[in-house]
Amino acid sequence: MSSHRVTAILVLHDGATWLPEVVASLTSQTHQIDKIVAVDTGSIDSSAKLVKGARIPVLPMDRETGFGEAILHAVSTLPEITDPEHEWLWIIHDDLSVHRKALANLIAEVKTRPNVGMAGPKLLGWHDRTHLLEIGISIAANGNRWTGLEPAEYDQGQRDGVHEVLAVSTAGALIRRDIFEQLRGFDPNLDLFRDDVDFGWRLYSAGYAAIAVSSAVAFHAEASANERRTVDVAEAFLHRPLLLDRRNAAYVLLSNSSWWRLPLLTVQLLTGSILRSIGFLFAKLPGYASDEILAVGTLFIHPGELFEARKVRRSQRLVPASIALKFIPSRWSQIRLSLSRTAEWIRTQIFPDEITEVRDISILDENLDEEDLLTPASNRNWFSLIKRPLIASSLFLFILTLFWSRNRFGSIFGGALPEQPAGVRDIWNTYFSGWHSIGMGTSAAAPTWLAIVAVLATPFFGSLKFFIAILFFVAPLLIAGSGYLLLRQLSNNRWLTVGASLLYAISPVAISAINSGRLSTVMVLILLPLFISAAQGIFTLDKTTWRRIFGLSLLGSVLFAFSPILLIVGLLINVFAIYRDYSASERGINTELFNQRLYRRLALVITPVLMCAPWSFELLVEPKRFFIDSGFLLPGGGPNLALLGNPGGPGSLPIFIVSPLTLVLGISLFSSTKARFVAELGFISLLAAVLLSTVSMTGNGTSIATPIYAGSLLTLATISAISASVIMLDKLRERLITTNINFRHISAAVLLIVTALYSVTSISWIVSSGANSPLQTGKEVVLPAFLAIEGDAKTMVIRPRTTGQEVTLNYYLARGGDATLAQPDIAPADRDQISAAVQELADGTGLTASTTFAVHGIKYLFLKSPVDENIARVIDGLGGFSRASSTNAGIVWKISVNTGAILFTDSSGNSSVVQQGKLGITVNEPGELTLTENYSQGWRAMQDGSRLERKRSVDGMPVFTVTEPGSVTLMYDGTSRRAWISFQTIVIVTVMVLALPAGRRRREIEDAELA
Amino acid sequence: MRFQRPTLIVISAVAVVLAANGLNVGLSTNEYSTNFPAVVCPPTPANMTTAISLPSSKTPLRKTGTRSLSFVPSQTLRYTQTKAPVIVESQGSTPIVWQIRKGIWAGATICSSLQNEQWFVGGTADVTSKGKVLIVNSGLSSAVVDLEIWSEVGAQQTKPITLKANSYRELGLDSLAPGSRDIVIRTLTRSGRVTSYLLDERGRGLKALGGDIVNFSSKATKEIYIPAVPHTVRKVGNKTEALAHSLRLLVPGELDARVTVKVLSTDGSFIPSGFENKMVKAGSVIQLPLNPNLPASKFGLHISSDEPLVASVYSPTFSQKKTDFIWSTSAPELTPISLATSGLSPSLVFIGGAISIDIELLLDKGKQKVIKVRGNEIATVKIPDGVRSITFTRVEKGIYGAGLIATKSGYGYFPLAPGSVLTKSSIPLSNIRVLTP
Repeated sequence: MSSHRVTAILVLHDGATWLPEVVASLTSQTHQIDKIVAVDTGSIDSSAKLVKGARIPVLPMDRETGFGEAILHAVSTLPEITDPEHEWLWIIHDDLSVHRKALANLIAEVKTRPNVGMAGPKLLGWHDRTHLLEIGISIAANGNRWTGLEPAEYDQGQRDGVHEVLAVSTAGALIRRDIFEQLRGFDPNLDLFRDDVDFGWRLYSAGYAAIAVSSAVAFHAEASANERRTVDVAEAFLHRPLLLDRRNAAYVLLSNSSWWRLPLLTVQLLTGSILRSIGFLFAKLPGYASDEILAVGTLFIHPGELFEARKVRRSQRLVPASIALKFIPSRWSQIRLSLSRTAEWIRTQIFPDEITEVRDISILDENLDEEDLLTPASNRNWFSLIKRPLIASSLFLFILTLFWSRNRFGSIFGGALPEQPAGVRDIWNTYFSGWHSIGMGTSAAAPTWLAIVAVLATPFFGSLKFFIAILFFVAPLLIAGSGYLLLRQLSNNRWLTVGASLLYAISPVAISAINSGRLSTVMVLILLPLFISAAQGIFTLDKTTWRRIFGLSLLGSVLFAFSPILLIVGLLINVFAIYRDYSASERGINTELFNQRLYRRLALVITPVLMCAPWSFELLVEPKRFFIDSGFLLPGGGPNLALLGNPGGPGSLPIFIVSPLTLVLGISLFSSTKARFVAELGFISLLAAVLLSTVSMTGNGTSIATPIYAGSLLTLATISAISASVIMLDKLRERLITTNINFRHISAAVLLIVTALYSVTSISWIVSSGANSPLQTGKEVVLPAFLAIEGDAKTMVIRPRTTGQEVTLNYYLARGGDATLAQPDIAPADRDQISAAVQELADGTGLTASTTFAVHGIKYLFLKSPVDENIARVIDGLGGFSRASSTNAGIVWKISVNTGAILFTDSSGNSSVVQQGKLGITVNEPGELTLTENYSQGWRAMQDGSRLERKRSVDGMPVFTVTEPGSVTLMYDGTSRRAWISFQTIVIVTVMVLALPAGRRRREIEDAELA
Repeated sequence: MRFQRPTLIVISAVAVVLAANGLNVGLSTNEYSTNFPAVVCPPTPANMTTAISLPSSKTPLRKTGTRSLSFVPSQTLRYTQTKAPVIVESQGSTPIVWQIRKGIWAGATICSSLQNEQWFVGGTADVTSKGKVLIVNSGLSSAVVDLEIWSEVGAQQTKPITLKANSYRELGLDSLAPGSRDIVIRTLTRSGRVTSYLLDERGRGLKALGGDIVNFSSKATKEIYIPAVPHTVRKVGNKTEALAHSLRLLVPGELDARVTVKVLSTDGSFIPSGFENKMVKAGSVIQLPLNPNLPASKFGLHISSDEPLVASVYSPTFSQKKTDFIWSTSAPELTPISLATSGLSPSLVFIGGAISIDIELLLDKGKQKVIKVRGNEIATVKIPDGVRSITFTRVEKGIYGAGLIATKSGYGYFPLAPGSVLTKSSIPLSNIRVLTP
């Protein structure tokens, strides 16, 4: 017979749902409970009646009574302590069912541990009784309740044993009565939630310990936390459990921690609250978001409570409060758990549990004995892994990429891809800036894709060069991967879909895009299959949720940002769909349905435009930019190559390597399956690409009419062709076997031969001459180093460009370096005066060329090798240019007239160069300040707090009239850019919130799901 | 019905492809600007007179060495240049320069635009030499010119010459190659807008031995045509005596050359004795006597070689008891060009195969006259007085020509070559791709 006396205190609050089992479990304990006292905190259901029916005395209290107060009230009704070390209180919730041996096992453990003041059972789920809820608890530095368990961790004894813990849940906690009274019970400021952790912390400070005993098992419904009943305690502001929980968490941390930890804790709590609020907002749970903020707020506006609480704890403390720190989880533990959860989530998203083997039970299986079924068959080895199509193709593609990219290990640029700045910070600076020092300067909006690239590059240590190098290296794998995700929806034949995705990765457009550094097309190749995959059912949008619409819009915006022409494609598809809907609606089918679809289609088209504003608005003003992708404007290969699915241009497959694309589309047109519809879409894309390839345009910093590169449209055609072929070839083998030789056999044979031929030739080309692509590493920069040193000095770079048989002179203004990422996209148009001066240089008539250059602040003229000696002589002869250097890189002349970024012209017309220092420009007399940049409304000159008068010079530059000597500050006012960025941010956040899955309130979650 | 839609698509595809190839939607990638660079005339050395024939009295010109860079109309058809060389915007019509030391000698040349390389085969640097190299930098930056000089003993060290912007220099031949009898000068422009000229003036003591302007050839070639060599006969008592010519040759390369010289004359074509496959040593200037047995007339030379070479013919003249000489230099293949001949009435000599040329003469008051020149191997035509300019409107291939001018002061020779050729330069285009490798 045990000498330990146990008084069970059952707290009731609308727990009728669980009470029958709770009471039954109490009464069936193998260890005798000496006394059971129930405290009813104003239950409005039949809780009290049920308990009274079990002959348990019930102490009634107000509905707003806190949990701790209720316990204290129950304890106060107990007789005086006679045997302090053997009298125990067993705290039982009305939603807690305890195992019949729970108390016995708890008592057995505390018997041998005289320092233990509190012991708790292993808590399992009420509904899923294998779901491990808690086995001891703690609190993280950010206030989170810390159990150290995986989400929905399955209990298979892995946590069993007796563990020293900071605290145990009050549900089922066995507390020595004398210690409970010594510590004055649970903190009255903690009516509900976290009172257990607080009590545990104070217990340790008083020199005792707490243990969790796994042999004692209880099943907890967590009714209050899971919002299965209202929280009516006095402190439960707005009756919100989360608010109370977060508030109490902060209270526990701030009242128990050492004083020197308080500042850091305060910051952590505030930051954590804000971040969680943002998270809840994204999950469309504004109530929870406000709980997070209010919880910390309500605590901080009553600091008196905290001071009082700390005073009480100081009086009870026997050992320093830091004794409990060993139970506070380290930050690394929290990160590790988060990473583990994230990785698991990603894994389940990418590789959902597949049933790899389906075995129908048949009479043949009857002789399988149970043991065979239980023993997992393990017949996998490394070789069998390689035989899996996905792994085999990935391995092959990786090896192919290694050969293909052998000249691209390191920082890469060339082709359409400009050199990249070092870090993401530079990209963001460009993106946020209202003024860009390119050529004579421009206020054009930086393209939206720049921000996307910056975001994508951030995980790569913020190194843009690293990100770009990795992106182009793994691009074939990514392209094949995204293609596979689309194609696997069309066929269950993994060899077919994997093979097709491999073909997609080595399609002419993919090879061309990668080799010529076309970032836009590479991104389109990767993202378009995902978009198509997600956009299935676009013709019946009424069944699509708005969340999916905004998700599609989000992905569509990214595609639009990289390749504006896709918006036109999307627009045309939607216009066609709207027309089709309208025709159906006209027949009186369903106007409401038509409207539902219309609104969704409008959202799909308009959202990307808004998300990419103001860049997208600039496209609307200058529509030809819809046809130009990012980067340098490189020529495409013209219509005939495009007809073969090859966009052409530098780095593309030669014309004698013919892809089966057109053939596939042609054959598919005669298919009787869904392939025909897909092929029709592909054919339309192909023809559009052919037509587009005939058009030449200027743009992206070049005034040379350049044949358009129809990469995006050909990507669409390629995806269509490959999809059509997968649909066609799926189960074709079975059909061919069962039929006599007919046109299907012939067309399949031709298709396979052409495909095999293309695969062999294209792969051979890729690993041989294809590796010497325009996009390479280790290319030398254009501008000599000594010119690059002089920061923002303008240098007119002239160099011959050979196109076929023709040699043309090209020029552009360099601003201290070569062109970098996104600069071609926003490069300003050519200035007539400058182009006339360069033309005069070329034909030898430019006596005033140097003067023109000086007026525009151009300090140097650089004739890049191979130098045309005639032009060099002409420049030598024209005057106004003095040779600064002549090297293998080319010849540099300095403009004889003194010039710079800012010119000051005094009242007598004398001009001088002035510099803007930290204190601005010092002007000694009235005159005019000319900024040698393109004129823009944003340029401001401030003197003594007032703006100087601004006018536009005849050369199209801003001129400011200085009326009195003093310090003048020149600056660009980027307010409008910031406003646009704000607008864009709001749109993006809104669309993201609308696209993200909505979080569920705990009350909305099924019981079975919770526990 | 099943194949109707696919067939329609295939037909439309074919139509699109045909249309795409047929339509020239693409813009022309290159645009060109054309112009005739301004030509530079030789400066006028002291005590000499220079008259420049211009195509029009409104021809813009400017002097070098002055601050003013603006061109002003010439106001005359024959501009008398005082000292500094003038730069003429003659717009395709090549001005002919007639330079005289009055009563002593005369010479002719053409004004030409900047030259990267010029070969002057002629002149001497011995004790009789009063000749000079005239280098004009018509550009507005300083210029560097390398002078390479060969003599009968071989090549001399290259002499770099620096000229200030918009200036000219006269360099005495005797200082460039002291003591050398037979010289060849090559000017190589390293930087700047440079045109060079060579005056070969000779005298012994106070006695003038004549002079001439040595015209340049632009490069050493294996085929050389010297269209007009005046063959002068003087009376010695009752007899007539043909004045001997000298053929000056230089093979500037490393290898000796086998040279054949063919005389083209109205009396027929022949290779003078000893001039067939004659071995010419490389690297040094040689002068060979050339005495074709011809009546007083003009003849031409066709020199062929297995190595590039330069050549010219020195021909002494005797007129009005004065001795003079003339340098007949090689001429480039004749092309449709225009020459300003105001105040001059040159004799034009053409050599080649079948000669067929149409010459348009622009006379005063805008009158025009066309002369058709037809001949075989050699043909001559005398340009009448009062012709402002001559234009070769139709020229067969393989014809070479030169002009000879005879006045009281002496003879002059000029090749029928353009002073400036139409320069077709593609208009530079703005392209940010210049800022990427």
